[in-house]
Amino acid sequence: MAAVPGPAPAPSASVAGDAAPVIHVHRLCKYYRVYQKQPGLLGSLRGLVRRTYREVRAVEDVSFDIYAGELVGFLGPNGAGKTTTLKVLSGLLYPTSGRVSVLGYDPWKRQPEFQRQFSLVLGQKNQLWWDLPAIETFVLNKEIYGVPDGQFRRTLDELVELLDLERTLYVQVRKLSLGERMKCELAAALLHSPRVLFLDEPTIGLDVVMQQRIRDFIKEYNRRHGATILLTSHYMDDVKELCRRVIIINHGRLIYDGRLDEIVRRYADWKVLLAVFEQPVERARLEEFGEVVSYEPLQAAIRVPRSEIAARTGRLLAELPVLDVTIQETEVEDVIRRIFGGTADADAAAPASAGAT
Amino acid sequence: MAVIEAPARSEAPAQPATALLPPLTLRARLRAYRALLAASYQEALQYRAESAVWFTFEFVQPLVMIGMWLTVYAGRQDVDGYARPDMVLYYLGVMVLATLLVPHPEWWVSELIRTGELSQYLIKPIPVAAWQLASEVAWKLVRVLLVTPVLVLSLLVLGQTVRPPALDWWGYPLFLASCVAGFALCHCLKVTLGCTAFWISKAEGVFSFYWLFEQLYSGRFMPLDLLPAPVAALGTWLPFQYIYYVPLQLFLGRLTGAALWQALGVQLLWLVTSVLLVRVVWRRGLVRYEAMGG
Repeated sequence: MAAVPGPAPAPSASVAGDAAPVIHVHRLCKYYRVYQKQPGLLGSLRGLVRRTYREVRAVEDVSFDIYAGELVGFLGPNGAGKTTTLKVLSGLLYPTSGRVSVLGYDPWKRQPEFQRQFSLVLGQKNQLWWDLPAIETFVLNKEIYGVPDGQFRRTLDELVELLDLERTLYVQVRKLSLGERMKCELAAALLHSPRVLFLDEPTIGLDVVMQQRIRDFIKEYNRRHGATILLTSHYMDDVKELCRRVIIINHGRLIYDGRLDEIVRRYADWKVLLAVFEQPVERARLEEFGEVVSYEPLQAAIRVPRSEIAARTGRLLAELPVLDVTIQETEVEDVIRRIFGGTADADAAAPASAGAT
Repeated sequence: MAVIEAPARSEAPAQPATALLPPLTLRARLRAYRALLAASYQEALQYRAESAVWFTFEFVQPLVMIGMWLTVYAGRQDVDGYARPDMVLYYLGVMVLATLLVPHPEWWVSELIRTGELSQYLIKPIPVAAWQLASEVAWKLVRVLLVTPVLVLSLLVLGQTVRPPALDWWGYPLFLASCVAGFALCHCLKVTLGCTAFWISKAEGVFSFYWLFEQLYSGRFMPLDLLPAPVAALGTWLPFQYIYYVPLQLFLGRLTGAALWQALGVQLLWLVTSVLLVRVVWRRGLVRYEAMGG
């Protein structure tokens, strides 16, 4: 009877000795009102008189804490609410309800003292001045953030070395390749040595080699400087290589917060083999190699357990008239779909016992 | 279903963390503004060809008007109180001032809002207004480079038809101050105009509407005191003549005594009003931006 818990005891009592989280999100909700246009000319006219709105619940009741030096992957399909959350944390959006604090500040107040301590890198937007060499943006950022000369020089030297920027620094940004530009974007965002770094799709659109370089850099930066990093990505490899902890949201709700090795072992232990054949191959033949995801006589996609990928690819090449074969990395979306039980696989149906650590 | 949440801890850090950087002193801020202007100037220089094309539009029109008026003056000394040299000087003044004192931040501002690029500027520890102003001032510095040779050439050709204005020595600093106020006024009005993008996805229609009035009542086509009375009457209630028409009248020595101080007073009033207006509209727009998606 009396077991109903009252208000939580003073936090200082329960977590005495623990350092305070750098990022604190408590029951965050963010709703948008989106104008909904009726189709056709008549609809447009009607819209002038009375507008109808649809409420979009971009983030709903999300809570998490991130501590100093953590590198956390933030996952979810398109429109899940990842970017919205990052924008709330950066002070670009104010929360509909709930509490958010970053480094002890209310982000949406956009105090310069807070802004000098974090960076937000949006993979699809750029802060570099398009018509000037990247070094000009760097020098400008130095002054805007008030970085002392000596510190600027040291940081720049380090970033140039880590990202291999000697040659790109003095070239007009618009003449750089996407990968070179991304490296410069990262450098521009780090010149003021932010304590907190939000990276939204930092490897999007990059080739594999460049993705790897960016990944190596993020890992090294986190190791050297102990910066707290929250990263979103579509590429499982990014997350796998960088993050021990992941937070997964979908439809604005938090569905997983815990160790990555747990989730990958449980949900993403396959890859997809794309094969193109010289002559038609029967579907039944392909079933021997794994679950056939899509099938046409001359090409097919087969889901193969990660551990067997080499063996089965070899066998496929040896036994069938293969023209071309590609191994596709598992996409985060796939993993999430499985978590949701979107497929009838046994392993997806039994995640209830997975414990967050 | 895997609904796994980390145990909710509800305590927030007690003390805001201090930056790993020294505090932003006034001197550091000034350095930041200077760097911003320097970068903006470099960028504006990249667009000097584009700038030259726009400038051509701006200086050809007043020169054509001079040609037209010279025909009108054939055989006349005076048109509604404007002697021939005054009229030529008026349009030379329009040529220079309309180019230097009318910025165009509305395009950039509305583009930032529409594309969401604004977010990049909002997270920086320097006001977005500083970026807007630096960029416009930089473009105008490039215009100075362009307008100077055209002015010198025009004076060489039209030399005998103009006479220097009869201004007291203190008229010159007053003229300069009035020009700065006119530029600031126009800048604020047009940033406000660009802010319509917070509410309207295609703002060009609103821009055209604004330009119609600005063109007519700024004095670009003809001196405002030559406009038909009912048309001119509306103009007295609008801010546009305070952009460069009033400074120009001052320069031509056509504003003296009480009328001069009254005009400058109203200009100042409009400037203050436009600053307040742009602040209010910007803030309300940002509230919407923060609510809608950034």
